[in-house]
Amino acid sequence: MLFSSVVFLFYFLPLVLGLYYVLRFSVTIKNMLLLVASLFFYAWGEPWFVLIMLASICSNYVFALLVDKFRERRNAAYTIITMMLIVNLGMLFVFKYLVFALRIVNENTSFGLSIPNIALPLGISFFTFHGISYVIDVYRGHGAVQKNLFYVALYISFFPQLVAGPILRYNTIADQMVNRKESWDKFAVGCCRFIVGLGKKVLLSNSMAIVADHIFSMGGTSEVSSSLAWLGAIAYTLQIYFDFSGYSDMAIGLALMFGFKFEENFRYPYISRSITEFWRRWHISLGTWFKEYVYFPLGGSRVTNKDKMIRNLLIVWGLTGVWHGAEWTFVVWGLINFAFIALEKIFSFDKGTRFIPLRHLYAMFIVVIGWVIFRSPDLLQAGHYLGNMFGLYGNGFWSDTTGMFLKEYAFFFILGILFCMPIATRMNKLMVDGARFRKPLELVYPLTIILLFLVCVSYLVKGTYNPFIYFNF
Amino acid sequence: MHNFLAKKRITAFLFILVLVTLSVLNIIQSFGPIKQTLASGDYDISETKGLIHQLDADINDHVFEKFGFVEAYGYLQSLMWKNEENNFEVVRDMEGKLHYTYFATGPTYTKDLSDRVAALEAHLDPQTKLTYVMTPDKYVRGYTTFPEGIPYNYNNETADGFLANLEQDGIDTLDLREGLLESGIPPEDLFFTTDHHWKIRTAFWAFGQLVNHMDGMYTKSLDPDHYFTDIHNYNVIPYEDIFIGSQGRKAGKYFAGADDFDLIYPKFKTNYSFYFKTGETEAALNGRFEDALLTTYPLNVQGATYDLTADKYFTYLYGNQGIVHVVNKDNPNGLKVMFIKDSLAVPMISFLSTVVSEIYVIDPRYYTEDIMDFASKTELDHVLVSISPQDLVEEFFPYGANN
Repeated sequence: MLFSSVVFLFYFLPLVLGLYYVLRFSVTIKNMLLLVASLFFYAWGEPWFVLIMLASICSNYVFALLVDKFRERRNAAYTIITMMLIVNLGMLFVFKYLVFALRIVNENTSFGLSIPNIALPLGISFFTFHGISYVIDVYRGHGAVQKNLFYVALYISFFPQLVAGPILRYNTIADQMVNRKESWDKFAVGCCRFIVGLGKKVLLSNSMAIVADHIFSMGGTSEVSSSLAWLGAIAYTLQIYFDFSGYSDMAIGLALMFGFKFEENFRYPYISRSITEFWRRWHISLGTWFKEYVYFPLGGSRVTNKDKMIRNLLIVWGLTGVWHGAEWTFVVWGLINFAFIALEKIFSFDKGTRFIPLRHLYAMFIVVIGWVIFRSPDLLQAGHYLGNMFGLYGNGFWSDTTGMFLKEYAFFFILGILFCMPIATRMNKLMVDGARFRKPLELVYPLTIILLFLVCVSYLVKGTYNPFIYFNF
Repeated sequence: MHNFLAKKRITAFLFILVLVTLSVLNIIQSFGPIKQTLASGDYDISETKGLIHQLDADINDHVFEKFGFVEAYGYLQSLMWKNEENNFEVVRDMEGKLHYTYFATGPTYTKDLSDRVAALEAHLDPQTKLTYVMTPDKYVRGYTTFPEGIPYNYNNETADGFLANLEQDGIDTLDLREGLLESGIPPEDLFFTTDHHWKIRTAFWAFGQLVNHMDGMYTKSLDPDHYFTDIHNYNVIPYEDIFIGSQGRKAGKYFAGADDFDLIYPKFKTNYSFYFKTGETEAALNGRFEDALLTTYPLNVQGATYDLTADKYFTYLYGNQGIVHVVNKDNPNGLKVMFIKDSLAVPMISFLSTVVSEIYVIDPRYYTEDIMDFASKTELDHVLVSISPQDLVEEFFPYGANN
């Protein structure tokens, strides 16, 4: 089930919210409701995949109990952690990477291995990382082991973050599962956040997806003008941001409605002045996860020489790339990020304060080029697309199609570019601080948000284009 | 901070109000279909996905005031001066007419399809003639223009290639795109604005062209006095702003408006028997043209403009049926004709019934038996194949494949 669907908005959400607040007298009953609702939410798309998620929950529950019991016996604890990683990453490998691995083997040998048809369970990368986070946090003593399987299940399957994140570390949510307090203010903030996220996804991301998908489907061939290729790249840049941040907003908003507080996942990444800053602002929970569970255990930046730091960065960014999908494009995209972050670290570029507009241009240029590679179905087509962007095939600069896409989607491009910047935050601040504009804005705000919701509903009911990028994850 | 949260509280209150109201109304609206699906559902674990899929479809198809939301969507597209809606599902030309289109780089390869028509002809009794009747595309060459950059689907070029292949194979063709702009019908009135079909007057003109074409193939003229092909011998009843066609149903009436619809039927005395069968559904009617071949139900539907049953285009021959058999009892010695067609041909076929003895009409999408077998076993004078340019795809040519 997707948040941006009629079944979620008018059936699932009101029912779960209603029952939740009817049952608010007991934390246990509320949690039971959320668990059942989460499993139902997951099963709505592909019922069989619930079994895979339940297997992940049960195995991580057992691993956590074992690692807690044998914490003092270092070798035993390491063995348990290793086993846990084999089970979690093994499951992820089978469902997500096996086909890719077999394809590589076939391309480079004469084995001719048969390639099975394996469907990717929705959100497997997210619930696998949740499972790993839980066991390692227990081992590190960041949160007590959960003896009750039910709470582990709730942590891993909680529906707001189940299929698209943010990636919650166990230690940030363990206490909230038993000691959270709902309030009308939290609920109100959550509602607004959810609707804003829905608007980002349904109106901005989906509209940009139409432009990007059409241009990328042409861009692999060599018949696209430079302006059209750039327009497609910019449209995808906006699409992916509003898709990811829209889902995160909806997840954070929904969690608040149920009294949970999730950490921020996106902080206006497109205003960054370096790739390092970009990754401090983009998919923060993923970056934090890799930092906490991969980069720091390897030694992070606090190593005796820079070689090791570079190695650590290479491992983290290689894994970050692969996490996003089983294709060479993701690996190359990860390595490009690695290369620029490493260079920025070596030259302390990130700390500089001169040439700010140029720094911003540089960061966005690398980000956009990165997204082109990320979006392309394979490296060959990524090469063609980049070639079109830089006019390598002599297709000219302008085409009628560029003008048409710009004209048809001008409204969404303008809104998309504006809302990449912290305008909404500034307006909120204006409302709090400025007495002059406060009253009219306070009146306009509720009507605008409700109108936004109804517009989103009209798009959903109409059945407009609604792609789901997270199917890859 | 108090004021900051006040506006959020008001928003949350309104949100709950809207959410609960729409939720209750939606549940009421879709309760019947959901109940029906649940009652007929297969609860085998391996079938669960199908059941969920069906429930999802029930919910999405029965949203409270669905077309109110679609109209709101269309209105927003108009406010943004857009000429395309929903991922180029429908685009608007410079004149405001809606079109189906897609991004294409050139015409579609259709040699396989023309070979199938050739195979059909080879399979027929040698006495039976075959003509391919190419109905016009809504993109009328020399008239229609799209705003700059709007993708063009190359339907006309695909049709050109297809007709050239047929002619190479020695198959008789009638290209109704030719002479369309000289038909006397104002070009803006050739096609509906909100529907992909031609208007009924255009279909009537095409009937005349078809009769002229067939007259040249038989010793006895189908309409020697030009009586049956004269529109003055027909009643023309105009219905204003009554029709939201298939393209309009996707975009809403605020995007492209509504169409007028002309109901055309003979003034002269007629006597027919009409039979149709689609799947397990079959029916038979007898009487005058307007009693046997027309259904005025779509014209009388109140308050369901967007309902499929309100599609005015299907007032003729009850729309698309698997097989139809029309007998003109007043012309027992005329031609026996068979049409393999898509929807565009339906009103044209109705009018053709006035000058022939019998017409069999087969829609390849809904007729499940062997079309070639039927054509060869039925005593026919003429087989007409009429699939419009946009439908030149395998689905409409399920016969005569090489394999």
